[in-house]
Amino acid sequence: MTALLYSIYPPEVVFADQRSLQDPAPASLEMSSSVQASVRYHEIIRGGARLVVHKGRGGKAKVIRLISTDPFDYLNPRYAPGTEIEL
Amino acid sequence: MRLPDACMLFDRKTVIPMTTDNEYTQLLLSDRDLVKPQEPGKGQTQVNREGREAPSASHKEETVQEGDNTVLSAMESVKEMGQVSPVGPQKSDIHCITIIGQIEGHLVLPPQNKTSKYEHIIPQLVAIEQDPSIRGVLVVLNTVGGDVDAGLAIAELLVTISKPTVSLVLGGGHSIAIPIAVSADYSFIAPTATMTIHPIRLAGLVIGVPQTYEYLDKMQDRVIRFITEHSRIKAEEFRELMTRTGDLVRDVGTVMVGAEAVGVGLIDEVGGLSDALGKLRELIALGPKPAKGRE
Repeated sequence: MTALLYSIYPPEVVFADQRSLQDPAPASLEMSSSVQASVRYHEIIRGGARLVVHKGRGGKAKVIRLISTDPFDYLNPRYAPGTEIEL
Repeated sequence: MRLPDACMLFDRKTVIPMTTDNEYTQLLLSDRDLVKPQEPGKGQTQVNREGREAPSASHKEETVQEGDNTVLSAMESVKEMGQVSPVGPQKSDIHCITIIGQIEGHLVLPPQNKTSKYEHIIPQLVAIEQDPSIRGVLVVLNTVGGDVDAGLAIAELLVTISKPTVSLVLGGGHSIAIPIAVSADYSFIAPTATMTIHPIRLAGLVIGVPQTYEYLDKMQDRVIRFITEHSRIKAEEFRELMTRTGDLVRDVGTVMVGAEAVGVGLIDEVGGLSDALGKLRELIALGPKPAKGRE
């Protein structure tokens, strides 16, 4: 596995999650990574648009992010972040 | 066959995909065709292609329910998703690719990184190239950089797509975002947007390969070659900006704000959304692009 990153963010920011497992990171970094670790997102396709959702209880999910190249999809309230949908 | 009866309401073109058992097309139908907004002056009824009067919206649903199963499941999904609003049923002829955060390629980055993923953007570009209703592409960049291979892959596809492309750098278009910005037919930068040019070998990172200076240099040359081929900047000038001291704390390199990026010949013009869309419309009006490749 090779990856060459050409980014203005230094590796210790990009890979903060992995690094915090090995050596103690500053408190703020540790907190943010533990919060992130508990949140799991899933990608689903609805109505021709790709949605990143956070699965909740009872087959429901909350829209986190819409991924579409059609800008009009972003005007559709069904895809708006925060909308609850049935899976 | 029951299907045509139920589908008489719709344009013939939309009847065909309905027969497939595909969630995509079903919902596409529910979204864009079932809830067509009333055109002004047409009143409660719509006339279909055969000139027959189609029933009004409420009647439409009844007909659908006693008809075909495929249509029915489309209606169910409309119910599941809640009220259908008349907002957003139309399709734009200009599609927009927004690139934010890190450009993610070979390696899935830890979750604190917001990423634009290779596997999302590449198929989008392939679909845009093939969809005859899409006439142009706007690429909006606000990214801190990312995977070299993924960034160059997106840039190469943008260069070779047959439809007009315009890029707009907003906020920041750093590092590997530069080849993507210059890959469009015409590029804009917002007056406040910044672009950072810095060497790959210092702030960059290679995981998994024991890299040598020569390896990184070769990777850097790859990026520089692409940028100089698709913008007005010369390789020597770019290298000079890349190794300049005094701008960055942790690194050598240059930060350019708005007009400075235009000044060095990296970007074509300072502008905003209406400028970018206006230019794209202009390029669309010029007709098909001449086939583009390496000179």
